[in-house]
Amino acid sequence: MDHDLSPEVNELRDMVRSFLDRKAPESAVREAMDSELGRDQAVWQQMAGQLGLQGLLVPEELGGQGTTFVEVGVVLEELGRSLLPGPYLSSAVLAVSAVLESGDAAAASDLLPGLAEGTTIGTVAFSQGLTGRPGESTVSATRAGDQWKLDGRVDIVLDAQGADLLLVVAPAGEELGLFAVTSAAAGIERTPLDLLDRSRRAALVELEGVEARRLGGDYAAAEQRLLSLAASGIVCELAGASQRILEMAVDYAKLREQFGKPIGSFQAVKHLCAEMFVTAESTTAVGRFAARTAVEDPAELAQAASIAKAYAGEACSLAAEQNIQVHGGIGFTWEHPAHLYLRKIKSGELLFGGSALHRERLATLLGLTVDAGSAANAQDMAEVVGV
Amino acid sequence: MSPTDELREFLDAHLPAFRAEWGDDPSFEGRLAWQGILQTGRWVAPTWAVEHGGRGLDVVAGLACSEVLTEYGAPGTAGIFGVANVGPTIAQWGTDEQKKHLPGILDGSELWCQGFSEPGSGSDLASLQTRAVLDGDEFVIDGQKIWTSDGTRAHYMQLLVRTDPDAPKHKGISSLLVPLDTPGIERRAIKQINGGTGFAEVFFTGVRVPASSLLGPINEGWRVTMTTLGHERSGVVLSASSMQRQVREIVETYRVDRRGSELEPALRDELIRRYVEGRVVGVLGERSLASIKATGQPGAEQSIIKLEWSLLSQRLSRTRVALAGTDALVGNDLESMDGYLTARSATIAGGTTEVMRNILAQRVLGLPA
Repeated sequence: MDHDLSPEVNELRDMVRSFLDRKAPESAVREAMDSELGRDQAVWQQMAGQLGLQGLLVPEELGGQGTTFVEVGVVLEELGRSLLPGPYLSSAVLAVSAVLESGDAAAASDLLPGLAEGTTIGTVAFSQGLTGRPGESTVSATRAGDQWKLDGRVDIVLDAQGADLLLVVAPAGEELGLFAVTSAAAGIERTPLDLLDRSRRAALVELEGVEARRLGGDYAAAEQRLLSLAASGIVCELAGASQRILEMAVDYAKLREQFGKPIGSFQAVKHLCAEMFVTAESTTAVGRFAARTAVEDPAELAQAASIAKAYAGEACSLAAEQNIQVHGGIGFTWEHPAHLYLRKIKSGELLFGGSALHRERLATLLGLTVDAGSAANAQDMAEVVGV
Repeated sequence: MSPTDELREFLDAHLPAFRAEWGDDPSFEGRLAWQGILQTGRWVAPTWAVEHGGRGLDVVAGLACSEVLTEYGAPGTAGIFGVANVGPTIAQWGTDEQKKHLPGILDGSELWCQGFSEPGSGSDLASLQTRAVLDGDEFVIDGQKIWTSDGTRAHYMQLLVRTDPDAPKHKGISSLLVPLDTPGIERRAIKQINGGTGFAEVFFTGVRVPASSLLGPINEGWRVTMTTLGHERSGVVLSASSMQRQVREIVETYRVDRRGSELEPALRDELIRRYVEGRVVGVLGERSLASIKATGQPGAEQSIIKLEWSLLSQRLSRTRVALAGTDALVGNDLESMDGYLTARSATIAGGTTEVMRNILAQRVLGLPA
């Protein structure tokens, strides 16, 4: 029982963990990673049908559970722990949140039931913030009568290959818009990328005159919130993954003997494990803090998400490296799962902004930088007053 | 009225007059005077039992009161070792006669220290060698203590001595309550790397105290002491929230709209790192508080907070010096340099980082000794 979660959320966590213990042993995880689809479709359907996990954020009247990001957070922890491959973050978390953030009720009733059932796989093509590089998306939208058309390229879209629904954030004139595109639409080119993390997929997406439906109005603030949710969600995954590698390292340190005794009796190894423990507990605490903030204090979400991501990205990558160090040679083999966690965690560190980027974002949020807008303004003022 | 409201009312009534007399950063004598004033409202240790001078509040309410005191910037408790450590141990193990010390501990008329470390017993405290031999109805004490906080100004000491040299090291230790004006006791201040003198060496030569000085059962001093350390449990929550407050304050200081310019990027990044680390410790503290509320125990976060708090204290002190630059060297910013020097003790006092990691690995993770 974790006292920073309600009894109900503890129960959900236990249920998901026991489900994944049964359905996602390492052999099944590896099989799904190597499969065409990148997921075990039967398990995906059970998650939706039996456990209702894909619908956690979807309102009850649209076929979901109507719960919050706190519930989603513990599911992501468990997925991070088990490494179950699949588009849960892309579809059940980000695509659902993207639609909800648009405030477009008609689109919500059209799109959310399928996402909740797991029969529709959705993903989000961000206009910025996933790679953090300038020009990561060149997509723009133009109006064509009642319809919109999208043109351009997005460097990385998570789980795009198997998605039925692409939610594309792109400039539409002066505004930023959210656009829904079905995978059947003409003019979509998806080139699979070889993502380090084998528990999810990614593609480069090119759009040429693709017909799209616009959801809601200006999406600029909504995309920022969505990016904060993405960062928070990744930290929850990192929390589960770092808890698991801690267990792996400790179990191995108790078992493996050298110089006639368990390696865990040597202080140097103890200290590695102790540091991993600090990282796992701290990441769990900040992941839940970010998730809680998303629900209880949305105005503070941007800061909470950046604190969590700035801390957890670097710390968990170090822990994943330390886990391999504790395992020695066996940890360097393809057969051993240590590298699967390193891949998951390293990807998590860099997707949606690495630690340095989030520290920069915090500097802005905390007023330690002259933000671009007011600097330009000061420049204008200087010219006006002839300084 | 809730305890915190009542405390606010008390502070509103008494703190301004105190500040007028002693200033915002009172000396030890000032803090001692404040402790006396605070105790007239029974606010020095509100979690203590009513009959001992407290208010019988639970740990969560006690923490809320501490937060209010911090919010008001009230002076810290002068006789902190008596209030935080010795008092609760006497309350648990003491005879009725020994419990008569408790009111004095609270109002500051009795200052206490703890005689634990010895020259040969630092991290391995249980190897301590100071002897106490029962001679009739008196213990005769010989040996030396070191790193005794408040050792020169205290009136009394909770002393750990070896009473059974043949027993395994944890089993032959007893705890004695010793007035420090007893003949045969010599005290010397230790000058620290920052020039200050918070610690003492205390020498015992044929010191005689009555057998009734024994606190708790004979040869059970280790267990008795662990109770004392146990009373520091909720302290980690306060350390965590204080760390969170510190990083928030320092970031405020360097806001562009306050300072007029940006820090250079590398320094700014270092400062934000400290901010992130401080907020993480704060979040761990909140998690620990949730655990205390539910179970009365702080959970696994307790050991992590102590460890991370000490490491972060050092990093933060380093960052403060980096921000102060040469001002820290030439005395224009004495506080940052003193903080930097003082912070060296954060990873030594109360358990070195290395020993804490061992303990964490063995007791929490179950790795072999």
